[in-house]
Amino acid sequence: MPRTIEADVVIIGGGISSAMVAERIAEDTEASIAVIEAGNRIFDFENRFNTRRRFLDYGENPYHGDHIPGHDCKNAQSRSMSVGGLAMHWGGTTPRYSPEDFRLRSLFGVGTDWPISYDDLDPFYQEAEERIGVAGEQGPPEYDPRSGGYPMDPLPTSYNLGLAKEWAEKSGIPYWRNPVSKNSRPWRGRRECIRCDTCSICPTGAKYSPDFTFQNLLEAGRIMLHDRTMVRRLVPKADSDAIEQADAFHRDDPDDPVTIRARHFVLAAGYAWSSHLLLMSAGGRFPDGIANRSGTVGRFITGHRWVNAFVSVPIRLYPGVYGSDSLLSKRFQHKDDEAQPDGKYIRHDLRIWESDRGKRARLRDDNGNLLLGDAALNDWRRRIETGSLRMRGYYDVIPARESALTLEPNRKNPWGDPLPRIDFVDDPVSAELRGYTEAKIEERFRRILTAGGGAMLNISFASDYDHPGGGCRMGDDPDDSVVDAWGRAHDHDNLWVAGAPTIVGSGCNNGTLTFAALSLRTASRLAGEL
Amino acid sequence: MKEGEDRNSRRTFLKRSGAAMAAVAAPAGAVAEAAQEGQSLSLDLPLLHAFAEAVLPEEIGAQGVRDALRDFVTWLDGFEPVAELPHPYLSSVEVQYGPPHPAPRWASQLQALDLLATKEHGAPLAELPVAARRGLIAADLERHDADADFPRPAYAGHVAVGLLARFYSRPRTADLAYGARINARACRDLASGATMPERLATTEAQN
Repeated sequence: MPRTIEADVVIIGGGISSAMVAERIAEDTEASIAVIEAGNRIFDFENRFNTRRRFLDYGENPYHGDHIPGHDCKNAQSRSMSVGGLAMHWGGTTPRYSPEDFRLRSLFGVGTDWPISYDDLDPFYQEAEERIGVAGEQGPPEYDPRSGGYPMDPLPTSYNLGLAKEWAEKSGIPYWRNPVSKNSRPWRGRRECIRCDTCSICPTGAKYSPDFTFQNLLEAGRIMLHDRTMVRRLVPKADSDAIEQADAFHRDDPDDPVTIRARHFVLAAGYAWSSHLLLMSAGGRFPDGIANRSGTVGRFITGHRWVNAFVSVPIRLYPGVYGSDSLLSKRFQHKDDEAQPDGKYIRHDLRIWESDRGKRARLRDDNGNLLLGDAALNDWRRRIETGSLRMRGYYDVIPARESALTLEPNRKNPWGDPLPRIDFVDDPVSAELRGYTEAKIEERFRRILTAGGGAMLNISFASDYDHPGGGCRMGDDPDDSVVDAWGRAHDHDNLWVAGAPTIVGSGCNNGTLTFAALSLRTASRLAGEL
Repeated sequence: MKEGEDRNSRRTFLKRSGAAMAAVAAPAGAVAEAAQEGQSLSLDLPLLHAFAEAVLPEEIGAQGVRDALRDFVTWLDGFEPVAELPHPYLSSVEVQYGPPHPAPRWASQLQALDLLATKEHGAPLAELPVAARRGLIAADLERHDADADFPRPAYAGHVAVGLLARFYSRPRTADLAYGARINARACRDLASGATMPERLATTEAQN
């Protein structure tokens, strides 16, 4: 284990944002690159058919050891922490944010405008889609603008989803295929998808995960990867605000410190652990933490909530072929009278999946009678004459400044460092509109049901934020943001933050592709300085 | 539990389950022979067979029952108690673990049913007509207040629920119900999922 790590660029964190930064810097420059990850490297691609089988049969975690005992963040999205990050087990869903997401204040008079526009990010969206391999279908251009085509054609529409689209579009709402980072043809050394339908553990590599990028970079000798290495503190230089080093330790030898030095530090540890490290680095001239002269580090943690419904539809469906495939509509993310009919701020996506809700075999009938022998099979057959679908809408929530990650001084990890917690707090505008928004989305679900036929089986409403981000938000004003429009810390010239922590809002769509695009944009600027 | 003890007990269990597999897979004559060994297994295989005949659908026939039991025992054989589970999404920071091994609980339930059969009907479960066996099992399920929805098999509080939960979670059982070759959870070429699943031939459905 090295006691000192030195590189031109040190990337702290080993998820998808790190992979994008590392790959872009490695391609554009001759700089030496070190990736530091607190979790384990789980490079076990050859075992994935077996781990998938055990996941299906027993529900076991296919990524053994993808967490750090005693090291967690309350209310975080997932406990998972390993090389590859959450994008090891993500669903591979890759919609872009909408142009409106970047201009909420200008267009709707709420929230905060980003310092960049959709058009600024568009080429990096395209680059991210090329790098990770995205298969998609162009939606109506007014709702789904793109300057270039998808790298790959969409995966063929499943039989069930084709019927679901016909059913849903009777409402007049346009749906198209949700883009995914799953190969509809071989792509960058990874094979074509064979619809195993366990995308959280893809046994073939048809779904992108960052371990592929890191392994390619390692084989090419372009990065050093230090896993199980936990950074505890960023230390500024004595005579300037630049970051001089990162203090760390290896989890196998925690009493022996590791010093990490670099010309540039890139913090790519996700929305939770990036803010955590900056706050943990408080001291000396930076009593509130590194990059935190504005007091904004850990603040404006953002995300969206969902309304989820299961519906019964008068269509014979055959669930189980490709349940992860979904339809998307951005119709209500747009600014117009149909999307915001009452002049209030409401924006949401719509998604549809096949489902077997209410259509599984069961032990008792509706009257509570036990179903043994042929009775259970006959009961099942009667109920599957019609199908069921899952509908969901993610709606935009504007975060309050108090929507924050903070340190809990009395809750510490095994090495004595305070652990973080996240408290999601809506901006007053979103708090006031929450009931209206959820009722309106339910009304739109019922519009689809009325047009296509069917019945609501169940509807539920999220309590916390999904697809969170923020904590180091970008902005032009150093008093109200942590990094500039390129991800460079306002307070430290050689410190950059990549991906999820820098977002201003979460819009209405899954965030990973946006995190990847932002990371590439940061890397493009950083590469120019190496 | 120490690591060595865990391995040892698991080895023992695997050995027993291997024998159980043989008993389930064996033709009728051999089943009786294997049943002698089966008496010492975690689950009494001949008893389990008699039990399964009473709860599984009749339409799958004798071969279908043997096949379902073989699958169930193979599944039980591979079960890892208190295994780490996928991290829950957005709901908890706690690492989640699965249940302890269900076999001891299920084995004692089977034995209890067998004793009950003798006390109430004067004969062990396996010697009762299917309807009488089913009545005993149904009463036991009512005592256990079994839910309408099947849990994941290992979480089943009752052996009947565990067996049925496994049986009804199998893709081939779904194919039987739908009368179509859905073959859920099987990897397949990209284009094939785009068309309606092929209908099952009548003979396939019966088997």
